Amino acid sequence: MKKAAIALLFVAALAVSAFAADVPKLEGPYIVTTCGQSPGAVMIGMSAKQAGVKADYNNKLTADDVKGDYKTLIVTSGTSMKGMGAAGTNVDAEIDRCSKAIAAAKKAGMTVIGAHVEGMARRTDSSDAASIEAVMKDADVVLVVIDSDNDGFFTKYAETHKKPLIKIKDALAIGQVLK
Amino acid sequence: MNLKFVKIMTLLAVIASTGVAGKLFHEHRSFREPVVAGEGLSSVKKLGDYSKSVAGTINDANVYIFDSGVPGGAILIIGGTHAEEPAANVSAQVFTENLRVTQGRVIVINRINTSASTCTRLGEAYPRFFHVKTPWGTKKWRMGDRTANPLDSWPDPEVYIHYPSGQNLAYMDVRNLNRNWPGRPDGMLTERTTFAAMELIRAEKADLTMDFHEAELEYPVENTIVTHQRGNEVAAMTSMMLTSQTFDVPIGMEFSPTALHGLSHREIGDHSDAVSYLAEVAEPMLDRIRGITDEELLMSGRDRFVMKAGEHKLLYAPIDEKGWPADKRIARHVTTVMTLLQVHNMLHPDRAILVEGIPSYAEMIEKGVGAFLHDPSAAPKGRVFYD
Amino acid sequence: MDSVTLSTVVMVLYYCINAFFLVAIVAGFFRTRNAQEAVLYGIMMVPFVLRMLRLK
Repeated sequence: MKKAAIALLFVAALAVSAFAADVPKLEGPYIVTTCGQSPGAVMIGMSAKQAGVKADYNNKLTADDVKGDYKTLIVTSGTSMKGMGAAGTNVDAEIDRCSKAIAAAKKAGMTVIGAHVEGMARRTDSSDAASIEAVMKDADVVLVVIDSDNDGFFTKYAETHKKPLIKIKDALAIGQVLK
Repeated sequence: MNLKFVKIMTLLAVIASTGVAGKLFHEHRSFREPVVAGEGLSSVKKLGDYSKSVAGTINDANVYIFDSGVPGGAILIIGGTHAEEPAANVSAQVFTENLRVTQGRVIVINRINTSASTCTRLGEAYPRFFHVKTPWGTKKWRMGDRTANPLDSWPDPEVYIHYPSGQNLAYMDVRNLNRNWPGRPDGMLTERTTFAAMELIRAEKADLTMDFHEAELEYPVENTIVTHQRGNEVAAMTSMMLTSQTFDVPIGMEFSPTALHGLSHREIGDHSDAVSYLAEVAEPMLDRIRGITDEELLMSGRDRFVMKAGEHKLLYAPIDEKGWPADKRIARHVTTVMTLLQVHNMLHPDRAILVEGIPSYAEMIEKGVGAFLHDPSAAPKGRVFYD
Repeated sequence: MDSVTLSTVVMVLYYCINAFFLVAIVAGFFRTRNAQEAVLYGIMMVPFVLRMLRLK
């Protein structure tokens, strides 16, 4: 476990340095939510916890919840039908909720990170695409794992929209990036 | 042609075909699967010991209990929910045959729906048995169906109304064990089976349960852990660790929908103190677009039609010429439980479950799962059981 | 009457119906004077016999 953590730290450091030129300094505490009720926010929360970073996750975060000491809002994209079924919501309602939360965060001077951390499994249908588009267009920084960018979609997106891109090995390495 | 001659020949053909078919069906239904329990076995109970409602029925399964005697938590590992998903019951058996528990308890049911393993799906031309090569010979299991055998649970209702939610489901789902949780003592066979399993979970004070499955690559809930909301953090961490450190194909995580009833990941968590998890792995033989359906496909997970669908991006899991061999599917399930326990122990040290003797993912891939299954003819009599 | 008892009653009735049809098919087989019909009766017998013996 320790060896793996050290290896991950190394990989994460490499990943961040490769793209660090355009990336603003990320500052916690973080508040994390999901646009599509996939477990991405829980994963970021757990990875941050393991790295000793304060990152609260709230899958039903509203604009009213974006307050307090938080410096950065992370919104994960990609949808889960099971997750949305569990929460009694749909992709349109999710996009509406997250857009309002992002607007509130920007108004409060927070940095907004648009994330995609669950790989190609969350890039399969039109709901995923809608969630990704809604989150990324308003994000200050794009954060993805390598598996999510297998086809270069996010690299191209970040280039086209001139947004800083942080690309990391996998979800477990996120905590180190947020440090 | 002489009528009498035709009738005699017809009758002989009827007797012969009925005899051959009957023998094959009987052989499938009556075959007993040997299990060589690991050295750490404490006792073997029956599901009927927890609820009389299932005692003496075909689903009165063996319950293998590994108790360290050291206070800690308890996990129930469930195999054989859907008997057409063989990696599920073999994964459970890898635990049964190799476990040593040093803290807490591990309880394993290799075949929770034995009835479903005594018939195959109508019109699908499934093989009746599947085999795994081992250093001492070939080990054989029954290949089954998704639902219990109609010989044991019949007739099906027009519409199956799940108890206690009242949710309407398809008629045959009354025989589908993973639509019958939490069950009831006076219901149909699978309802009584899950009720007995719930009684076990409550009586043994299980902290967590794992239900093994396999799924077609056309199905979106694939290569993932589905979890009750109380297991979100453990499942997320498990998924991340396995994806980062062990598996070549990532394992995801899904939340259990609150309004979809009858499934283990929802009902066990809702009706007991245990946190319920379900693991899915890709099995190309379950895909509708597969080619020849035989034991080779079942065990190798290689199919050119499924691969072609993958090339057209019609699948939710990757597949190449290497396929999804049974060894890999089983290794993923076994390692998922081992990692789940590791994370559970980190987050709940007061209810830790420590186990030894289980092969690593790399060992199972390198040597094959057969290397970790034991010869019943060479085992001490007291350690051989039949599922 | 609970669902299990009801199902058991239906199942017993089902086996009675199965037996009735099997007897009718066997009788038809012996009665017919047509060779093709005899073969057809023979083919029809197989699933009914397997069901009565609870093999399928």
